[in-house]
Amino acid sequence: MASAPSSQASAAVQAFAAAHYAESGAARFGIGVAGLVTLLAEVLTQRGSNDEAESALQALRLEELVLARACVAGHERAWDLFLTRYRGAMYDAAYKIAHDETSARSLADSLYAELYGLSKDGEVRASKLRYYLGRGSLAGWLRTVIAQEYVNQYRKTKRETSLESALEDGQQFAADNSETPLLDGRVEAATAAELAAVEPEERFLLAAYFLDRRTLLEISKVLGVHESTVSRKLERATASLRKRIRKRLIEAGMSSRQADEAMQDVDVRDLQIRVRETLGQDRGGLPFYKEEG
Amino acid sequence: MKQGIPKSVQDLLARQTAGDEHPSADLLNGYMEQSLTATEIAQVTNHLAACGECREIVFLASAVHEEEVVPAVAAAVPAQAQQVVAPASRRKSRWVWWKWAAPAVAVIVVAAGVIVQRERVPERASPASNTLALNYPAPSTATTNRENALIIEPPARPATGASQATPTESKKHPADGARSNEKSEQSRRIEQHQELQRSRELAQLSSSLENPKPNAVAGAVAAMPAAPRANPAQSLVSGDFTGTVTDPSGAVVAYATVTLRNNRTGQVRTTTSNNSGAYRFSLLQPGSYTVSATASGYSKAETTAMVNVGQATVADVKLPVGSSAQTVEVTSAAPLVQANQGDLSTNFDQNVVANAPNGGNDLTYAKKTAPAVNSGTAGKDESAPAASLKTGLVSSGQPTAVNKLAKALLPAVHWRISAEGHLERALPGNPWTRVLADQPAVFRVVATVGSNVWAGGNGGALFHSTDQGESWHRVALSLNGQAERNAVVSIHFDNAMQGSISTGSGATWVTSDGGQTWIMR
Repeated sequence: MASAPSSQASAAVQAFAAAHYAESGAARFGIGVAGLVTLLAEVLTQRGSNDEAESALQALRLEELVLARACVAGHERAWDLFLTRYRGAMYDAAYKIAHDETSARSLADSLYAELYGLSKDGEVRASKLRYYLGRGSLAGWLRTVIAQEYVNQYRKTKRETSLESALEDGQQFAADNSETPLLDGRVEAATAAELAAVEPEERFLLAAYFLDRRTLLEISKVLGVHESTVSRKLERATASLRKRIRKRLIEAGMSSRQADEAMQDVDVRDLQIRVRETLGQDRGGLPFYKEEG
Repeated sequence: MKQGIPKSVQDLLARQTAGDEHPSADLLNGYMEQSLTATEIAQVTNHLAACGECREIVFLASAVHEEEVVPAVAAAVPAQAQQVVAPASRRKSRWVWWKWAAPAVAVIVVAAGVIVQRERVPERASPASNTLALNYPAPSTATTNRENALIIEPPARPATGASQATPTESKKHPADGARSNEKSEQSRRIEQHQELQRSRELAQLSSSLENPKPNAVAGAVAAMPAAPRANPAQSLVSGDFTGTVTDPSGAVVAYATVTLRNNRTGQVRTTTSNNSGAYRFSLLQPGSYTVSATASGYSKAETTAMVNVGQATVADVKLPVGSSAQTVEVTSAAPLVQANQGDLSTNFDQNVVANAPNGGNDLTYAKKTAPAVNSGTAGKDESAPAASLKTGLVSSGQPTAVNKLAKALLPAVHWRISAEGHLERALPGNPWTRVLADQPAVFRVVATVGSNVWAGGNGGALFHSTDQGESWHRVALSLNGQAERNAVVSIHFDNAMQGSISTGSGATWVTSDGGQTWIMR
């Protein structure tokens, strides 16, 4: 027995499926309207956002979703279409992410195998495409998956770094620069309190710009806004954060001058060392693809 | 941002960890493509703020994203994509609207200003105001012209982007040598990005046009990107396609049918190669085209080439020889003059004679209503007996159709001068026979005009026959009683009446009455 909300959702799904059946291209893969309804219901369940089912449906990349699902089901024609459309793009994206032919090829090949979903013992196919839920474009999803795969591979190889290469890197001679600067407890408390109050988007901006040292251009691409907008937002976030921390420090009993000194900017070179060590995310401070150069 | 953030903040930022699990690729991609629901956006942003790895992933993926990896997809599913993109880009659209509103308003203000000015001084010299009107189109024109909007737009934006981005960064990371070295490279990328983004925004605007929104800042602006489509024939946005059609040996093929197909739109244009085998298609939208040529006796040949703006793409087509198809093309049209029929006649019935306008009641007027008949009198024109009209009215001695007709109707009689200087004639199916054998003259030249035959020779001998040599009479050329004694070396008649002969002394005798009188020149 379907519960009330789910039957409601399925009514919306049914209406949506009926209205958009023709453009979904489901017919060419032998999926009927009922099949489309099932497919959509599955996707919404996987997404787990029943309350926004209506808007989620409207923003759905229906045609690409149906194609992906037909591929998961092993439909030959769907695979042909998928390969025609995305194979070149996949290898292209892999190359642009990995920046060298060999690793790009291995990256794309491994992803291709996962997409095709051949299990080792030749049992049930479990294509990775089933994780595509039609939120964005299929091409974008493939790019993101490749980027994920790249980060995974990087992490794996980083962990497997041999002692020799560690020695070559001169790690045993590395100075112990883990000395923690003497932070006034009040400063830390004030910073933590104010940072927690910062909006997630602003925190993302601050982290991307000051920690990851992403350029305004790179950030603007991710957010889909203009660089100048990113610049303005960062400026605003920085200024207001400084102001609020200073205020809090003064409230905690510091004089204006003390507060300013406590917040004094450190040398950026020191900051880099510090950031790299404290990231704690198993990577250097530089983005992966910039390390080679 | 100029001062950066306090060190303590950086520490805390770096130390924070994302408690939840990493968002799926689908969510991250949706985040980058701005197609998530509000809840999802909050979820992903929260995670990204704390998770360096996921930030790494989105930055890696978005770096590729910008380059539009799968252009073919958009073309394959335009309807679907547009429909889905529309709600997805809602977050961005308001900003885009405002960004376009400013230049649009500027254009309208300038145009309105010009109009007001024109209205204030209507009595001013009209050419001046015309020029103004051309330079500053009226609001409706201005807002429907993307060219205008683009010209106004660019100077403002790169300045903003570059001036804000570059100094900030150089201040923020002064020690980062690599980055400052990349500055010029970066500014180049910024420009590229701005270009790309601008064109995307245009595309987005044009797609949002199809579903105009009530909150659109300037409705007039909406028409901007759609306009250029209406004007594909501007020389700036078109190219030509030209070439030559040849056969396998390289010889040109005239009148070949050349068909040009736009590979994107499927639009087809057809033309014919000229006498030199050349063809040309003008005012084409840039893009890929396939040109194919066919001609009778040849197989079809095709070639594909790109047309670029402002250039004439040359694509020569070599036609292979047709294997078996033989097509005989017959063009039929009623000839003006019947050349294969001798009994042409035009009958005038009583009504025509009675009612046709006929000044002076002259019966000869009637003949003028018959085709290819000129004025003339019976008997005077002996050149075309076969064409004599029943009434006795004949065509003039002019080189008219009737003369041609007469010539065509005559049996093919051949004339020559033998090595001994004899005049010889060959009637159809008969051997050469000597004519004027009784004359002692040594002939040097013979000419025919219709049934008229002229033969000349030594000693000023000149003979004329009006019946293809059946009967002859001697023409005596004399000037002031002195007969021409020099040999006739050439005879030339334009028609039966007008002709000339030359003698060995260089004298030229001219007649304009069929040889009855001659004048020496």
